[in-house]
Amino acid sequence: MSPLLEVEDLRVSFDTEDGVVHAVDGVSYQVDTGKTLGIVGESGSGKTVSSLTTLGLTRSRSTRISGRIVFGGRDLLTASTDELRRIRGSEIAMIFQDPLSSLHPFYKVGHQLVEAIRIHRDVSKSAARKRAMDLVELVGIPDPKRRVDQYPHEFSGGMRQRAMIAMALANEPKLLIADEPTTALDVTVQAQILALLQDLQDRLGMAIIIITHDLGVVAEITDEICVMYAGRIVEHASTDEIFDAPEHPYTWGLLTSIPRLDQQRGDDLVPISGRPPSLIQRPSGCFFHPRCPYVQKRHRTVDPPLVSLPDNGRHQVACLLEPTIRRQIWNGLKAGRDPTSLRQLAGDGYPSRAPAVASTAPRAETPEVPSSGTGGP
Amino acid sequence: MGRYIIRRLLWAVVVLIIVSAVTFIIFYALPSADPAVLRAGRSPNPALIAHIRHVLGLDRPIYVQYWLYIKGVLLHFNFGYSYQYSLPVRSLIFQRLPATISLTVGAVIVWLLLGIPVGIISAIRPRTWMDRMTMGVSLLAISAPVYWLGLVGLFLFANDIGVVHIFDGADTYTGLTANPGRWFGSLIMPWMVLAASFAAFYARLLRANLIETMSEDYIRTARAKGLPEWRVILKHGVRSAITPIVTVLGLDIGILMGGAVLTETVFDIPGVGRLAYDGIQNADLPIIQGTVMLGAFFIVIANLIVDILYAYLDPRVRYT
Amino acid sequence: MRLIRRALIPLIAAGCAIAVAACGSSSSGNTSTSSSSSGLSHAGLANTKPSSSQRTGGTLNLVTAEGWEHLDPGASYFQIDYVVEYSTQSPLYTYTPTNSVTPTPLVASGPPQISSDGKTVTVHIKSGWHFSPPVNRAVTSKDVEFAFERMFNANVQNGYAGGYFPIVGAKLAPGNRPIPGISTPNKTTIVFHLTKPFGATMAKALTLPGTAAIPAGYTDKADKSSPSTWDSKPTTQVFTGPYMIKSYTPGQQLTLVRNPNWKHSANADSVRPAYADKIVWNAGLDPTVAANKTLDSTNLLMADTPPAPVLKKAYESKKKQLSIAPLGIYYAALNTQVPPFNNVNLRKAVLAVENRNAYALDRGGKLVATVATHFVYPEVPGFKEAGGNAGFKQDFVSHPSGDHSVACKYMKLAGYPHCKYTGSANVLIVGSNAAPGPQEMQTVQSGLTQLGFKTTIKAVPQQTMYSKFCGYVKAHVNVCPTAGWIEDFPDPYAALFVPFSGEAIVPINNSNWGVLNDPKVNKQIDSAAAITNQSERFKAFAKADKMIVDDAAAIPEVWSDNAELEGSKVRGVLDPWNDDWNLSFSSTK
Repeated sequence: MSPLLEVEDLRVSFDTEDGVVHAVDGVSYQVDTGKTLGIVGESGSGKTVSSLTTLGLTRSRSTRISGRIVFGGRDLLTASTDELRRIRGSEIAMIFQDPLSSLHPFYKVGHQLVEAIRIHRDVSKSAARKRAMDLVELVGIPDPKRRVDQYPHEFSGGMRQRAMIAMALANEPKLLIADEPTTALDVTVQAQILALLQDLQDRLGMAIIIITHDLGVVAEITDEICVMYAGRIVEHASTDEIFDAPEHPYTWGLLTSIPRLDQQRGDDLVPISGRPPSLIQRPSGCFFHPRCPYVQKRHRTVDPPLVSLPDNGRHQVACLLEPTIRRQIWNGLKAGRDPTSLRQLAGDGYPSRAPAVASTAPRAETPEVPSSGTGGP
Repeated sequence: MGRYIIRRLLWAVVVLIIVSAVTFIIFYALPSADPAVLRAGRSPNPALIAHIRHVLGLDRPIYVQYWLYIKGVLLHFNFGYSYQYSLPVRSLIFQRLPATISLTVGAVIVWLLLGIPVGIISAIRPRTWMDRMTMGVSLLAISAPVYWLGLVGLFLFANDIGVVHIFDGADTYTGLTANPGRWFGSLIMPWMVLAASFAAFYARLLRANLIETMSEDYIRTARAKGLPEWRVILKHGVRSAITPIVTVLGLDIGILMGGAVLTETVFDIPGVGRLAYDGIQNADLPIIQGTVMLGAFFIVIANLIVDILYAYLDPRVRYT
Repeated sequence: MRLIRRALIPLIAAGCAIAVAACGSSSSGNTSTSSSSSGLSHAGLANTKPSSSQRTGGTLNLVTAEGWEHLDPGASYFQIDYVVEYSTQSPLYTYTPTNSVTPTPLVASGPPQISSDGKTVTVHIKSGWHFSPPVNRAVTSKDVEFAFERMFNANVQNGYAGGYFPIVGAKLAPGNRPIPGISTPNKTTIVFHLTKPFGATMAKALTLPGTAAIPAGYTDKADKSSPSTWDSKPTTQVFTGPYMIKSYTPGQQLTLVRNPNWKHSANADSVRPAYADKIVWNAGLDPTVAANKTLDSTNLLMADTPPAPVLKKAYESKKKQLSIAPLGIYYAALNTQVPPFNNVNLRKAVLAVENRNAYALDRGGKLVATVATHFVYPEVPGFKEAGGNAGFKQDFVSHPSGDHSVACKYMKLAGYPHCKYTGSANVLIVGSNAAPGPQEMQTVQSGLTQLGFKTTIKAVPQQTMYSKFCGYVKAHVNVCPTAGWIEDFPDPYAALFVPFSGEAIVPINNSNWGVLNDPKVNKQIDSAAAITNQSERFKAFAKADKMIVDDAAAIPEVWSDNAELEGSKVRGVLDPWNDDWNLSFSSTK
């Protein structure tokens, strides 16, 4: 049986005044019903663009899209705008990072839910309202009767995200895309929302794609993880493999920057030095080489393909380091050693230019998609 | 809310008193003509001037004059007598208010009907041929002085002096109750001329607001819900983008109700603005005072209405 | 003695354009012997005299930019107010479009009888005059007496009564009656006893609107309030003219309809034909719009001055709808009481050095402005006696482009041997900030600078200039270069007394801007005013005129014309001395 969603060699680029932005560059992944896929990467890695493209929200005169996105047997890239619109919010739903800005400030929460229901279903206002209250209750918001008549600003952060989830679930979608669903929330609330998503998946049996820059968030609930860098997938494996035996230096960086409960206070987190590359003027060779502590001369010219590990066909990585050397470095990192001390393991001793500002470089989330789907620049 | 409104109304009274005081001071501080001399017409007879000064109360200290004025306004709603016409300012203003209201209301309708669709269309198709053209035209309309625009309109389209005889020209204003058809006909051009720059300004403002709004997260949410694009734009985009415009609209209406001086002058519409203009020409302090107070009153009230409306339009805003 | 106020300001700019437009055409000299002062051809312009081809009936339409000021005949003074008064009221005498030299009896039955000492004036009135509804009764001498009492009632705010009607016992005060110096021996006779031999001049002033009869006592209630409400509600007035005011909106609209009690007959109005049945006058238009409307219309008169571009258009393509007639004089008053110009030789030097041709260009050029040489100007009877265009030919006025050597001569006489003023006085020049005021001030200033004067220019609104600077003696303004003057009635007295007699100086609202108080001039004007014989009278005033020029109390800058526009199917008839339409003579064609 074919997967629910199959993305194949997806390429998305935007024409801007500064040049062509290669936001997504040959990405492929699949999600099955009932499964959860995590897409992990920094801002600008193309993770959000790829999922917005799934919904058709990146279509515009200045966007070029190629590849295939097959959902339930239909290629969404060739679907008409109206077909896509009918899939959006009914078969595929999406929730976003900042629930306050994602809800319309001028409409009551109940109204926004009713709108989501009635756009796809021919039901009366009162029936839709009844369903809205059920949904509010389903996502664990107490006192739904009162809550539906409140405005988003009267909700707390976690409650707003629950409301967003309720809205996404309004038409029992087969696929839920959650874009940084917990980033704007307190840590305790984060856990609640993730638990809610897991619980809802168990009950409703939908597929979920969680997009995040924080591996720690997705550890508990994903089945598989794609790590994206500069518009490409650099590593793709089951969640367990990613955490136990990661193969890509970028994944290592992500993993070592997760705060752990067993970590001693005062120990510095090891962030990935440097900034994400420009998607207009991309680096030569391996896109990660300017930031890679283990870079070698030929990495600057050779672009590594995403290939399966020799011993594990379901674990793919795009890295030019020898598998054995990768394993040695990862073991060293696991043991708590500093990346610089492991650099000579990589070989020819071609020192990386360690960016001076690396550790303090701003990592603020910047919009990855140029404004909107149809009204982009 | 009730207490808020009462507080604001009391504040409005204070503002009006300050405005009237400032008008008084400006009138006496600046070298304007001596009203008594103007009233006398030309006489070299000092006794007559002294008499007029006395009658107009100009021989009293300024603060006494001001106090008498404020007392008259507050206790008797009496705005004094025009030096020039010897008529009560109150009745002069009320006589002219219908023309100003006709002009303002019609112009507001015209500019909203023009400005809002143009703004929306430009915003959802930015940088297209259509957008560039409408925005270019609107820049012209904003930059064109109303008086000049009025003259151009008259010389092109007025059915007396125009190149093509289409609309009623200057000096054709007729009261609504006197003859609704002629009222409408006579105001078509003034409405369009007065509305032109406002329509352009509103179109540009709405365009800018809407472009910004359309990049908001909740617009993405609306699209992700599967709403048709027109509905995303109108219900989610325009609804937000238009809120600041309501604020501006309220103030603009308030200002125009105090008199659209230039439009009224170029089309010779007997409105409050024209009265104010003549008052200034003739150093007619009571008329200047009265029209300035009226203008200030409308602006203050418009402000209050806008604030109340804003609370209704944007549920996040609450007054206490 | 009306100072030139608003009506003239736009004209000025107008002329400039014409001057440019018409510069190519040759100056054809004087086109008429009477009053044309212009060097340019007035040929082909509209005929503004009455003619036999005028049509009775119909509606006459007027437009103006200006609104009306006072429509109470006792208070009227402004040019366009006079236009209304001369068709709604009937003064004792009137100047007509064909005779602006001798008053024609209107309500009076014949010329006034002036006693040989000049101190008693007797007027008989016709018996056929009636008041308009609701009064309806015949006009008697008591009603004329009442009109005079009203003029001296301070609440009516008449400005000229004290100056032109020096009646025994008359003084300006609220409710001042009866006046001892007026007697009415019978219903048709009124006698004025004067405080000085002024009969000859008063006879001419009996043409002013204030002399129009008002039903005795009828306005008492209105006149009790101050100002009188008779002025603010003109529709409730009682009329003796061919027309009544039907509706009035201040500054906007005025409608006149026929007065049913007015009769054109030998024992009532034998002067005014009153062709139109109705007169509709709209004010408050933009001047350009009003002027274009008039040119494009068939039935419209513009009663104030059109702006330059339209005037140019009219002159070039619609000459038949344009008329140009002399209006008044512009001069730069030099304050004779305050240094440095309390020295007559310095004044002469300044007069001699100034380029008055430049001033004439500022004022509109040859078509509408002629360089002046004295102060009895072209449309005033007695102009010829005062030397006409050439004037008195003093060396310091004979060089319209300015002559430094003549100026030098007078500088030396004033004690400045190097022709440069070396005193400490700073010359304050105050003028109108509306075009061409600033240009004129510069023209005057450049003359002063040539002679070494330090100057300060102050440009203010025209009315402020009159009321707070030039007309306010204590302001000590040295030069008022943008002041103008038109006469109240066509007589040299009205041109000279107020601006140049020391007796006319008042502290506020003074119109003797040079504050000239030369006993010789005062005496000459007074004695001329007493002369009844026209030619003797004009010669005497010419003498006064010459004395004023010799005093160099002011730089005579230009004699200015005014332009009027009319629609193609209207026959506008001008009152030359008021320089505006006479609505009782104008008609449709």
